[in-house]
Amino acid sequence: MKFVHASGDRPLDGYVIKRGVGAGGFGEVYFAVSDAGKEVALKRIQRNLDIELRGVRQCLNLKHTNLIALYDIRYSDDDQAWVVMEYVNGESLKDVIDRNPNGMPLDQVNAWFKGLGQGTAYLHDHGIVHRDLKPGNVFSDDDAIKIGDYGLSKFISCSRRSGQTESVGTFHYMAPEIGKGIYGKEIDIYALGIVLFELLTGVVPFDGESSQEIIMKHLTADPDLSEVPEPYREVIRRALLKDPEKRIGSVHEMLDMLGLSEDGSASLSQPSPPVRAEVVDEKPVYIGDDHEEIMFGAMRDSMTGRRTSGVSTETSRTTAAAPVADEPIARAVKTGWRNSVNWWHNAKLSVPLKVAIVVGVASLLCLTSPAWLPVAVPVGIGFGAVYLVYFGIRSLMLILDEPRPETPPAGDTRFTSADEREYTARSGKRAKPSDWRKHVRRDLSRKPAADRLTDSTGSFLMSSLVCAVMTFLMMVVGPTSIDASVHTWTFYAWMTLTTTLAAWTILGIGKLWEASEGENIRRRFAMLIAGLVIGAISFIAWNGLMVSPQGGWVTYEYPAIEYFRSMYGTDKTPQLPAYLAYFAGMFALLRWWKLADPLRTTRLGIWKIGVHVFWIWILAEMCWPLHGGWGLMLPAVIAIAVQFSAPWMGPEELKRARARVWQA
Amino acid sequence: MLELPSGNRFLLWIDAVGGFLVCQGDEVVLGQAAPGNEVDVPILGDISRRHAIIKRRGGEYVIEPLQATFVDGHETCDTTLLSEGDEIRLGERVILKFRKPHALSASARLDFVSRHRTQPSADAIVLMAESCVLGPRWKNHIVCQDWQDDVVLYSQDADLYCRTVREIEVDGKICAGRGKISRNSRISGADFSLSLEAF
Repeated sequence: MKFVHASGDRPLDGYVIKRGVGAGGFGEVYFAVSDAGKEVALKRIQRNLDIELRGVRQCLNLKHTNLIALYDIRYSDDDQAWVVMEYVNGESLKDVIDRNPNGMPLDQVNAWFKGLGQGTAYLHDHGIVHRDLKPGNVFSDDDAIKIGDYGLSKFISCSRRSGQTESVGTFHYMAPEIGKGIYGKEIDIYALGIVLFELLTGVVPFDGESSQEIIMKHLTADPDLSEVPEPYREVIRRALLKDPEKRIGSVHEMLDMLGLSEDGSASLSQPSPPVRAEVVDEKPVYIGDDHEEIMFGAMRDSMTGRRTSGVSTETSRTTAAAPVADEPIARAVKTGWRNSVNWWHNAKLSVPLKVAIVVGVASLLCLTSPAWLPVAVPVGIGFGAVYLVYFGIRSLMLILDEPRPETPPAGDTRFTSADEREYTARSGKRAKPSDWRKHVRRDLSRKPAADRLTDSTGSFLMSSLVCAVMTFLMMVVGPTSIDASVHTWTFYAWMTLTTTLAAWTILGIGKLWEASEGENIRRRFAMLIAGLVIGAISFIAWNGLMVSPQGGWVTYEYPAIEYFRSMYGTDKTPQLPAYLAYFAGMFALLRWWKLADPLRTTRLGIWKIGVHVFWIWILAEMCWPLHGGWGLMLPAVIAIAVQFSAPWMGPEELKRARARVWQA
Repeated sequence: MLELPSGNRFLLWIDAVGGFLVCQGDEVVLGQAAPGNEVDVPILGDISRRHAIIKRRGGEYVIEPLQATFVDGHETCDTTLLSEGDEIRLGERVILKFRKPHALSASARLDFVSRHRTQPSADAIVLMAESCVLGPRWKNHIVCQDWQDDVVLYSQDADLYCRTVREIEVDGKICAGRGKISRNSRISGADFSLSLEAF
């Protein structure tokens, strides 16, 4: 960047220039020191027209913490006009946004927007329209937000990125009516709406390759507010209305809606009294654990009916911890125990009496133990086992019933939509417009159940066909003798049955889960349970069909068998535990549902099949082998069958979906 | 008798980047900015007139506390080795971060963590050994984002020089790649300009 004046110059009597700071639309800004040592910013007004300085004169005596103070207008010997201003020792909002390309944390958004809004409101209250609000004109100085360049905005400066590059990024903050020469305070409100959007998302709502394109979007396009949480969404929506008459009437109203007006919450420096017990007036907390989900959004203050932008925590009904906490039997037992403990502590019994009771009961139990112990232990274990099975099934049901993204009930601002839940849940890495997968998944979730059923039926039929063919192919290619003997065909039937069953399970679960990205751990757990069931069925089928191993690939000479001797029969054929372990391990180890994801990159990924077989090979080699080589053929057939039959969007449709999201 | 620091330091004013206090001495005294108090790094803060000395020994830096000094939260009574990223607290409130960004240069940098400034005002302090590298890369002593190339200020036989790959102008004279500069020079290139100011 080039500056007219160098360090040491004294263009203005009484001030020595130290360095250039930057160049705005109105001229260069320098850091200078007065002869007495006062640090100031000097703005060299490019064009010396008196009419342009009239606005500055009007603003010279405005005083507000959020405005850069103007000290004076001075003229150098060559009649060059200079504005002497407060020197702000901090970075501009533009720098901060550049550092947060996916949007800023909400507490910072609130701090910046509060200062920005209050400064602008003060200007409006004094009859002045800024006309050039943009991140490059807003600065922070030791935590104070300062707006600059007001009063000078006779003509709108072009550059968002204050620099030489004034090409694209030119008209990002320009209200549509500016084209008609209307410069009311509504244009500041519009610009504030754009800045607020940019603070939250890191991008401006209307962007394009050329200034014409951007202007066109200002005139016609609706901003995509799907990523923006309430109450910001409503404020931005109303601030960006095309018709200035319909826009939010004042900046005060904007701040009120966000709870950022003078007496509102969310100030960095002055914590305001909590409006509600749950309102946490500190940094927004991100989802850290499974127990609580943080919900941002407008909340009606029960006392005054005023909205606040607080943060409340609410126990989620869809978390992994929920089944544990809410499981009715466990709850009943826990409550009963707690009641007895309470009774024991509060009972009007003297301490010696309590000791006597404890000792008496304990000795009685010990003395009679031969009578009840042989019965109680198996009964206890039995109860425990039954409870475990029940708990597993219940967890499975809850997990399978993952929440689907849905539209929020209209008019009820207390509940955020699933989008916002996800948005806030990932506040750390904020959702971008490019996050197309989420959009596509949301579309998928809107698919009618009938369509989903049709999809599933089709893929189920297809997968069993593929399983039958692939198994046959492997028996032909593999070192197996194919003859008309019953053994060949029972083995074939068992193989087909097991693979089909596994493929159906994966397809079914994949269908249920396709509408969201989901949590890997919970999904793996559900898959593990499915694996146990398949293992049991497969074992029953093996015995029921009286299958005998088909030579060649079947060897039982695995060292691992020795470690898990109890799982295998005397002839080293796998028994029920081996089946259970093998299938549970296989299903929990790999994310099988990804193979059924309609958004997968290729229909049939050879690499993926290889990876699946590899991991199963490790599993078999290290832990529980199942019928030697056939144990590896199982996952191969399943992986092929699932990918082959699961619906796939295809490259064209994926591309279109991506483009659609981008356009939106 | 206090050693007068003048002649060992200068202010570096870089247009559109910032102002820096460059100290060339092997020993740098940190102290309060007060009239008549000649220290290398005068800080406008609640610290003693001579609070601590940072010494360069070979490629390493040590801090010798004269008054209550803390390095990374621990009070130091003896000379302590400084390493990249250490936070130095002088007294109760003044906190500086020690940084040695460039692996090939023994020069280091002190940034203000607390809301304090030097007097005269500078954004950071550069403890310059032989060279000080300015330019767009993050590991430079002074990061100048919009610049095309690095500019190196270096001292040789008690003289200061400026080096860069392109043509530069030093005090109105065109130099190709390398030029001798003084502590009051104005240097400008295709996309940058900076001034030195002795004080």
